Amino acid sequence: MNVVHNLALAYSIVAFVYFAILNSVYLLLTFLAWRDMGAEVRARRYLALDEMFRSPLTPGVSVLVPAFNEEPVIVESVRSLLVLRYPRHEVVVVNDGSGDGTLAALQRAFDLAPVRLALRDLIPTARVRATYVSRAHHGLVVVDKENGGRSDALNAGINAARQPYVCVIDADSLLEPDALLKVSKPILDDPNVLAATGGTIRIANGSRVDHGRVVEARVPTSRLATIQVLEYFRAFLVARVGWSKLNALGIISGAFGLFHRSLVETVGGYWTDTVGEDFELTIRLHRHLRDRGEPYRIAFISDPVCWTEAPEQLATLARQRRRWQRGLWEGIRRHLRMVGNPRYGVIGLVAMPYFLLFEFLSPLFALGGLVVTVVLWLLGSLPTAYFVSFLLVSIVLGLVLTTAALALEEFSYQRYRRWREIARLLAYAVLENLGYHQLHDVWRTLGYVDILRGKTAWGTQQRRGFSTPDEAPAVPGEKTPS
Amino acid sequence: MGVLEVIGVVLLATSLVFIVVLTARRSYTGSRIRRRDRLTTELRPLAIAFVEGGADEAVPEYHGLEAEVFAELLGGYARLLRGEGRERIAAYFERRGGVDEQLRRLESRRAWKRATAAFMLGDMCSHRAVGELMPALGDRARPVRMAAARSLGRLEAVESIEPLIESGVSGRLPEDVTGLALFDIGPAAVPRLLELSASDEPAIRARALELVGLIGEARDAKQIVDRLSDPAAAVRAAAADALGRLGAGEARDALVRALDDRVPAVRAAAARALGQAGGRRAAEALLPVARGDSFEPARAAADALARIDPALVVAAAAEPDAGPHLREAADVVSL
Repeated sequence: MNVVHNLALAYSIVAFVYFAILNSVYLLLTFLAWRDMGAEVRARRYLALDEMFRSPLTPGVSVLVPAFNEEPVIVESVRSLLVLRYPRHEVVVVNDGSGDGTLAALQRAFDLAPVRLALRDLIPTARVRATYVSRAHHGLVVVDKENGGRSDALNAGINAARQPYVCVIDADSLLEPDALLKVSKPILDDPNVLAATGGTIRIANGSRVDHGRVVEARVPTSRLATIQVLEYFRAFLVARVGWSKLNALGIISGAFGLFHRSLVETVGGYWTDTVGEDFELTIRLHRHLRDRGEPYRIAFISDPVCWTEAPEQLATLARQRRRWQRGLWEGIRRHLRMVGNPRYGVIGLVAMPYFLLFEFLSPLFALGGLVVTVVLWLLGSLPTAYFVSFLLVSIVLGLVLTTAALALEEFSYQRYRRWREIARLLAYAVLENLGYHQLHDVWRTLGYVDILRGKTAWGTQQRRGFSTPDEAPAVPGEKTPS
Repeated sequence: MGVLEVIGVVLLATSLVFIVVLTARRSYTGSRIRRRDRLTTELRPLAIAFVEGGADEAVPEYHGLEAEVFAELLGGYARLLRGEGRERIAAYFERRGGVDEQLRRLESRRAWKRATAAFMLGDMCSHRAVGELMPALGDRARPVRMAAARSLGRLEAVESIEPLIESGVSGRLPEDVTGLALFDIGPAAVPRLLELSASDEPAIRARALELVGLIGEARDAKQIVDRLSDPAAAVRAAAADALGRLGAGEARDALVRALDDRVPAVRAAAARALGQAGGRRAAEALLPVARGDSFEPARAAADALARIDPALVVAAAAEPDAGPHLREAADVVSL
């Protein structure tokens, strides 16, 4: 009994140290993000986006939109992409064997005509059934293929793309009109060094959407979506900015990223045997470019914004987070030799160990540490004062990180106009510590179970469709890709 | 008080500081944004009247945010205008001291202030700034160099052609920035670019040719046809693209020969150029390339053919050996 007790005590101490290191990293990232914010805001004065827009030298971009059972959102999403402010871009929608009316909706809305497109065969994909071009918008291409998953659909999109750069976005996402210009600008200013860039993802739930544009950002009415707003603030406005400053950005979100097409083709496109294809591709690009010994950067740009629909139901969110945990492991496992390997510089020595120890293994310490600490306190092995202080420090530290992220948003973007929305976000910054974080860790722990069981499917996700808050939601769609 | 308690109090205080700062900032920027929006609406008609020929005396002596908003409005219009309107804007900023103020800021120790000043000087339309902007092309901060290049282009500063090209070639400035600046300066840059198209450095030759294609005229084509046989593939491709943009009919035979180049990118560029040059000879030469070449040249040839002779594309696509690119081009032609 003594051995068990001592082990539990040791585990509790290890979890505490782990917690301290993890939050020190977060604080460092917050510091880096704050330092970057001022420069970023000032640089907007001389960004010269108008010049880029009118320049005949601005290279073209193919916007790739993989779509599986996206009937409720696809038309609005494509409309928003067609009117992006960019001098030369095409939209390539890949219908990945949808079982709903995704293709029919596109045909109706955009007057698609069958065109026998010549597709590159550099990256193998599931069979393409047909290809279409819109009579109304010649810059809209639709590739209809058999279901092969998101990665396979993106690979088909890369094979069909005509432009030298590809911008990958989700079908349930809306890009702001200048987002493509903004995410492209750094890469075009430094094409020999910048290999890829990613932009910010924001939650669109509750916001007013008109003709594929978010015309008024609002905090969601759903509690779960509101908490995700805070999560996305921390992830994009803080963590990714910080990692990018360290030149160790480990992920360009699959919902909004820009790549050299030829580079993605060279590394073989997206890996189809993972549900974390965006993370895996980013790491593979790092690995490829490090192996070649070329100077390069993969950067995060916080200004360009892509709005996306967040899950509002616990079950859907749980599936998403379990999938993310699985995708994280699949990416780490495939590139395990990079972990701690000095050959890969800061990405091998810092980012990959961080992903393994502080992202993938965090539920073991966060949830396990909490459970063990509570048990030890109940057994009288921990003084109540220490136990209460420990819990309060955890909550207040979370509050510091979230308020820092919120203040960052306020200083740099001010998307939310109403005071009560800021108050609501602040309230949730406290409330999310009381149950949500623990639940999140449970989902991620269940992700371990999925990994052990060898699960490969994506799970399902409800689509409500973009709507103004006053409108009734569209008919839900069911996502069940292979 | 234990260590944990101290940490907790410090963190709580930090959090409160963030909340206070957030609230204060929100109050300040909220009213400032509202005032700026109101001023923009109020001052826009006056700014339009001014650039369209209204008397300078009709513009009051603005200060603070009003002066800032009016300057922004004029700067925005400066990007859209040529000729007299720009002269009026330059005269306004000269008289009101705006140019001098930005020239002083160009000497600031802070890079962002220098970059902002360099950028704004381009919108103030005063040619007096050129002499100060040219040294800024060698500034230690890249954003300053980029803003200076952009403004020199906006000011159509012919004297900056050489340093702009040098900055682009040496990598001190992104090629898209120098390219656009030279594009803004226009045909005056062409003679020097033509000289550079014979430089010893292949990258310089290619870049110069690309820009000649963008800002040159048809008569410049005869001076670059020889570059289709340059030893560097990038230069041959740039020459072909330039000839296409210049619409040089006399280069047709040389471009047809370039369809046999060993490098696919050169064949693709030659095909695109022939699509611009047009003619039966071009169509005959493009057809086999569209049928059976590798992906990019075949696609470019099929697109070019569709531009020259859509009926030929449709007929050729019906043949069994048409290949995917001719079929695609035929389907697109039929849309």
